[in-house]
Amino acid sequence: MTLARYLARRVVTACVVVLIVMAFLAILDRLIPGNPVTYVFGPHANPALIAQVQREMGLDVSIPVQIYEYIFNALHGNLGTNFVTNQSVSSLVMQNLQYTVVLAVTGLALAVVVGVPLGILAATKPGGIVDRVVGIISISVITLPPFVVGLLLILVFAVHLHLFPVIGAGAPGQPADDVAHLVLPSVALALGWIGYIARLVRSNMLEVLTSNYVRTAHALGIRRSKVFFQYALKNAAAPVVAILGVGLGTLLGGAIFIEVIFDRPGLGTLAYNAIASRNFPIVQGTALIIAVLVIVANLLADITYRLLDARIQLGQSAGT
Amino acid sequence: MALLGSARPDDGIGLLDLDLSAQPAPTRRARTRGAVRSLLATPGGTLGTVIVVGLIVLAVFGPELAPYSFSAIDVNATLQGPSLHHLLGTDQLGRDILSRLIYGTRIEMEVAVPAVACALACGLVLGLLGGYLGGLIDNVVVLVTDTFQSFPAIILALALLVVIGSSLRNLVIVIAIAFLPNYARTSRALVLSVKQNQYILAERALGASRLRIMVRHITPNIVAPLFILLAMDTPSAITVEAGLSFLGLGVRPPNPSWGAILSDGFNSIYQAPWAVLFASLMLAIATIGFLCFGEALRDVLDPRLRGVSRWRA
Amino acid sequence: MASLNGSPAVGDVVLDIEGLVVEYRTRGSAMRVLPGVDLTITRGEVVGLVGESGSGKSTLALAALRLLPANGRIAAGRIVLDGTTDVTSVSREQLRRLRGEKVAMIFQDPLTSLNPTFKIGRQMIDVQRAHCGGRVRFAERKQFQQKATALLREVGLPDADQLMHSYPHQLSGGMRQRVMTAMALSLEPELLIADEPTSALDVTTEAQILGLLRQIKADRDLTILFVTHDLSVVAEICDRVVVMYAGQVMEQGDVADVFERPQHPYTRALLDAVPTRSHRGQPLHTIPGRVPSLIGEFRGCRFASRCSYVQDVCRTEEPRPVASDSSEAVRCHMRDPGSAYEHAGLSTTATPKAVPPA
Repeated sequence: MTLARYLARRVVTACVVVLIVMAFLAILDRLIPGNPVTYVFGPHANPALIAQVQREMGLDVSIPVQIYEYIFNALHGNLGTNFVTNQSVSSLVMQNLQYTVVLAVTGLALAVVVGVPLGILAATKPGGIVDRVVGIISISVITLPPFVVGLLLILVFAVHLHLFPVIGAGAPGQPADDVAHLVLPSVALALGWIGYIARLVRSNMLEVLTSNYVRTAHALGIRRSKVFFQYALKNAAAPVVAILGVGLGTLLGGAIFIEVIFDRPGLGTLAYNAIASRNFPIVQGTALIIAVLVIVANLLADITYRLLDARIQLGQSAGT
Repeated sequence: MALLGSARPDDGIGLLDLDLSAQPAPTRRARTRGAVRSLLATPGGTLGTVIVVGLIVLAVFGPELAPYSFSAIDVNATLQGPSLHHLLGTDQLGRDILSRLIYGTRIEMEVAVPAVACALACGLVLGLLGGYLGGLIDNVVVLVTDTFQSFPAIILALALLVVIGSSLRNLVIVIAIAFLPNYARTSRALVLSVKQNQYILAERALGASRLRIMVRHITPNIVAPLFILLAMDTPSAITVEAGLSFLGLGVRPPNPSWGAILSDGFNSIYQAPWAVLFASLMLAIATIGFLCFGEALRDVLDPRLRGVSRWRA
Repeated sequence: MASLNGSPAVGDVVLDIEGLVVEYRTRGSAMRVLPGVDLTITRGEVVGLVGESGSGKSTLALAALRLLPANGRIAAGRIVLDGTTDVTSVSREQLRRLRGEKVAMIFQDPLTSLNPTFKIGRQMIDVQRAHCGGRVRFAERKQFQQKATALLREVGLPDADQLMHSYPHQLSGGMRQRVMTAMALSLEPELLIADEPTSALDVTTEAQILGLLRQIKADRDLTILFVTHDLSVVAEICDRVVVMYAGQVMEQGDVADVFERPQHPYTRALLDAVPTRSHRGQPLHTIPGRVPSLIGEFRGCRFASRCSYVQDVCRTEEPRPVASDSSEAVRCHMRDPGSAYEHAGLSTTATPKAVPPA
């Protein structure tokens, strides 16, 4: 099928998934064991409060209606209200969204900007010193989850070296300060993926470098640098793009830890505080926004991947 | 086209030489021994196997091996570094870090392994149903899988735990749900590829029921990669549990999940970094161990070609 | 040196391979795939290099352009082009330049041999660009495009303009092989090495590609080294045939002569193994045994373990190449009057028969 039709189908599927996500989140509070009101307010709530909570949690209507109402509200930007302060959840989420997105995107960019060249470097001389070093480093960083890396970085930099700031996101209105505050968190977040991408690029490159078309290019006298950076790299890079969608999802998940550890504002901190106070609508809204971000990221990654690899674009497999 | 050469192994006279002294097929014991030997063949494989076995031993025999109880408070010995009495130091309540880590191993294994095993079992069923039966069922399976994969594991776990409360049992359930989509997707892909094989078509021609085909014929052929995935996912599950405990959503204190140890350690990181250091090390060792084990397992169950060479320019 | 009336003269050697030794490193041990091969190709001839899998024919072809994989190396020998350039000792840059300009190569599987993510036009122009020595100005780019389109038409592809914007997977196997041939011809090489170019194609397409090769050979006065396992193809398009077995040249000579009266038992066996109508109803001839392992030292004739005329001397002494009857050079004690082979009862002109199946 043509690219346009494929895209249309993908977008429609993505929208359907978003709707299902909303439906799932809408009825999540029905899983609360016992009395949902005591869940929120403790055992001594008065009846008016009980009725209000029940209405707000959508528990006074049937499931389909609850889903419908939630989706309807969500699409109009209404994600409910904060149990504790009565603020609109959507405004809270929107306030904090930017911090989390900046963190995750910076982490992803870091992973690509550092990981891809490392992988290429390792592939230029397989088995050589650089390859082995890169290999060992990649494996070691992959094994450490972001929050552990974050803790270790704090240990090293804040406790002993005093190089980078560890608390907060920087004074408002000072971009340089923001960047300084971004360094450690984004490195902590991205370190594992740097290793992962480096390994992926390395193995893709090695596979491509043994392919027949690279041999043909050499056979006809095309410069080695051109063969490496154009013929080989383009084919090796495509799968990496595909994985960036997954990457953003993982990074968004890790961001919650990073924000808590480094005391940064963002969706993670928001959710963390909401957990402590059993503030369900906030958790619900945060989960929704993150899921939507992940779905969009995967969609974009998929489109870019298809644009890069002509075979898949036109629906043909490699073996035809 | 011309046939050049023959594959008959004989001495050139042209007679087929039947080898009547063929050995019987290897026994199951010999096969297992062979498998174990292959696992230990590479340095990575040995490392992984040793670590995994070590973790299992710690999980089972933890209480006997640990020098102290995990909740033994000693207010006179708080936040100490490594010493003869406390090999890895103490935390902010004077509890021995080494002992807490050992007890913690049991918690991690108790949560992670059943969770991933559950995810495998349920994912396998979903993948079988969707992949083999196709049609509407398949569409539903794919949609559901996609939906749950849109949540980062932590976020999904968070949302669920907030609602149903955190306990050991709930942790297992939540982590299983988080990992389920991956198994469903993988087994579905495997089923789709195996479905076209000749022996499946032959079974259908013989009138085997769909259930029989799925259980007797397809499943045995696709479990191997799933088990490899299980080995590789266990450390991820451990990490998720540690993360949840770190955020306070895991097992209740004073249970020493590694995440809880990290969380306590974080609070006193400026005074005494030992808890953070050693808990991180433990997590890293467990992760490396399972990953190496998984790779060795992959080589045993599905040997791949080695020694690819580049075209020299 | 061409003779005065312009026809290719004897002695105008395009490719001269002397004592070529090629080894592959496998897990510690070295496998000597070519133990010292000599091969000469004169201008204007089409040489067929024949052998079964593992005979070393592809290795020889790849070595000619130093295209061996990373675990292979040229251990000894010379590969001289045009009597002037030794491929084994030129610098990397010189090697890069003569690839495509003097010698071009086309490969067996045209799908995997073309970059799947680049358009055909881009790949063809890249070849020309790589050899223009410097920056490419806009006018030159236009020229390259026109030349590429002209080449595509020359190899018999219609809609050349359309094709320039297509991807390899959009074409059929035969079309892809034509594209590869066109790419190889871009820089007007004098020698074309074809490594089993038709093995992956069906019979009809194969016939078309062979016809194409014949045509471009005539049009451009090309010299061709055609590597194949298929004797019928050799019979159809080659002037000379070189038969290889286990890394050594066993027999070589004019195609018609050798095929009519093969001097080497292996060649005869190969010819007998080709199914023809005259064998109808009878079991197919095969050559019993298998190609010997190439690891370690070798004693005697490499074909000894499968030869129906083997004698003791064959197992101990390696036969040297001698001229004999229809062959320019044949490596067999049976044909060597100076060897310890017992010729009693055997006419030196008798052609050996292959062993019929048991």
